[in-house]
Amino acid sequence: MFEVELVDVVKCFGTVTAVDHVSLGVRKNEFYSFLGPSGCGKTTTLRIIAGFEDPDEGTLSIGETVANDIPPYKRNVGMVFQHLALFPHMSVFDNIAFGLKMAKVRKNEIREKVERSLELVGLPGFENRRIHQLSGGQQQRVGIARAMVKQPGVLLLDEPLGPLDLKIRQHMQLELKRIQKQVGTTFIYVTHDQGEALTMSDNIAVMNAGKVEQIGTPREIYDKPKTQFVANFIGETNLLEGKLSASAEFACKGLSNPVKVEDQEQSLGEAVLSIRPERVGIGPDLNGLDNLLDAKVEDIVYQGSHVSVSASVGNSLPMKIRANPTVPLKVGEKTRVGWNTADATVIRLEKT
Amino acid sequence: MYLAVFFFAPFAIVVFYSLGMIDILRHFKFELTLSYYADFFSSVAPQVFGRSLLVAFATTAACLLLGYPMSYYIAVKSGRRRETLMLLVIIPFWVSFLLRTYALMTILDVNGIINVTLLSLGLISQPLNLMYNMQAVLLGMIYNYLPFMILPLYASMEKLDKSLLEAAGSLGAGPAKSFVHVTLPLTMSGIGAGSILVFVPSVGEFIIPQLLGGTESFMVGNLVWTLFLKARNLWFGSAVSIVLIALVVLMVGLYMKYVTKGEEMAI
Repeated sequence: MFEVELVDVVKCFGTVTAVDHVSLGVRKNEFYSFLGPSGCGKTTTLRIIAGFEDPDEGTLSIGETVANDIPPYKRNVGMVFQHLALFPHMSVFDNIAFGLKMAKVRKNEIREKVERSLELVGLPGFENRRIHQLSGGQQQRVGIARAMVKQPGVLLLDEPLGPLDLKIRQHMQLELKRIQKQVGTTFIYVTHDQGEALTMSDNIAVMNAGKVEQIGTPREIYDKPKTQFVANFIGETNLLEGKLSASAEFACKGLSNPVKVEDQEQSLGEAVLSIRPERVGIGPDLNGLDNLLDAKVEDIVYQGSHVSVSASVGNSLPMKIRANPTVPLKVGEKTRVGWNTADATVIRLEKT
Repeated sequence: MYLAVFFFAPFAIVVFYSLGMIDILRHFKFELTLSYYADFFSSVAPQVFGRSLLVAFATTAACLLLGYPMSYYIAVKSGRRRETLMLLVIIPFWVSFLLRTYALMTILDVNGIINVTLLSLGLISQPLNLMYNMQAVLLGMIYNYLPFMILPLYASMEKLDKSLLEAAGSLGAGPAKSFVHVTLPLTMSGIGAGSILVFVPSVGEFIIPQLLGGTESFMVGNLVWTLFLKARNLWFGSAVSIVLIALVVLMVGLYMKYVTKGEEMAI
């Protein structure tokens, strides 16, 4: 039922464990991202799927078959490389046709397919250009066309938009998503850019230090982070330390009274509370929220669509709040902050 | 200026001699003639030329076949290993060319290491004739010229992006096809440079055949040397030299035009 499945995969380089018991499943035709900081093992995991690295432990399945020992050129997997890896001695046509030629496809069929794939990536008529005559964005498209022309079951993309500047990047993100929908191939996408992962993915696996921290839809990852790392890495958040004092109460360090939280299955124990800055209300007349606290405005930074407010809550507990610019706020003034229990996530700290 | 004095001037003198200049020092005398070039074809020279070219081809081919996998092996190693291996390739250059050839003689000689070892082990009852034949000359040439092949090959392989091979793999090319379609075309510049660096000096080589060869391995280099320094026939010697230079230039030109042209387009 999974198109690509990893079970307990381990990969070590010398003494470094690059991939540490990773298990995950990618469904057919979904856009799946590996997200994490550099060195988290996401690229190594991708290279294991491609067959460029052999896992030390665990199994990798592609389709119905265990693929551990299948060499890369026999896997039905395409790859778009971070540094493109286009063949410099070939024209655009020959680059894209390479895979088809290897598969001994008939000449006129190759021509047809190359033409169609160039149209798909928005470069019709570029067949005879040399690689070095193309801009970075165009080379990227050729790389994608080359990997897709054989219609592989799975397309692996290793930070393909990394070298591009912001404008082209954003454009290419939408393009990629469009291409993926149009051809309906399983995409596995590696990135360290959380914005990119959130906009494009159906599912995200957040990785850190070789381990998968959390797997979920962009909404789950953002709204219900399961670990401190995920909460911190994806977007901005307030992490309040403390402990659960009752099943729905959190005793926060720096606050005299516990705040209300959603009912926890397990009460008691060390935990942190993650609250997104944009989910926190602020203003002197605030009411109707589950938690309401006195606070003082410490700093205001105007950012156009919103203002970033630094406030000290209760006994000088600092919080970041993203407020509407129309709310009347002044530095040094007393005000109130508040949030609903549904907007805060309790992250239980692992026992050490 | 330097080039003018030490390259073009001697070259011009050789050209003049070959065309019939009698004397340059005492009374300048010049009688234009092509008779020395005509002599060329009636002498042993063409046969010697053929032999030289054959040996040079064989040396180049052998250096390429040996050097290519060696450079590849070095290029895929990382860090310290690679530096050590490159050092091993370069170390022979620290010893004079002549000494290296003499060293080879002490190995191949009738009383050399190979014969003494085999004799003492009782594997042979009489010393083998390893020297003064064509095989010894070829061995000496390959041994001396191999680094000239490895260095440019290594340079071109080091530049080769390993992810290109992975890309070829992910597109369905097995190791052999990746090699033919990616590695080989992208290391063509190294193959070209290495082949020329080995071939050109091999054609005119005279020390190695002189020291290691017998009568059957008399080369163009030896011919020129003999004509100039033993027979004192400066005129015919000059003519032979000019033919040699013309031939080498022609062959290198053809080689660059047909063999390495793909590479130039890629750059």
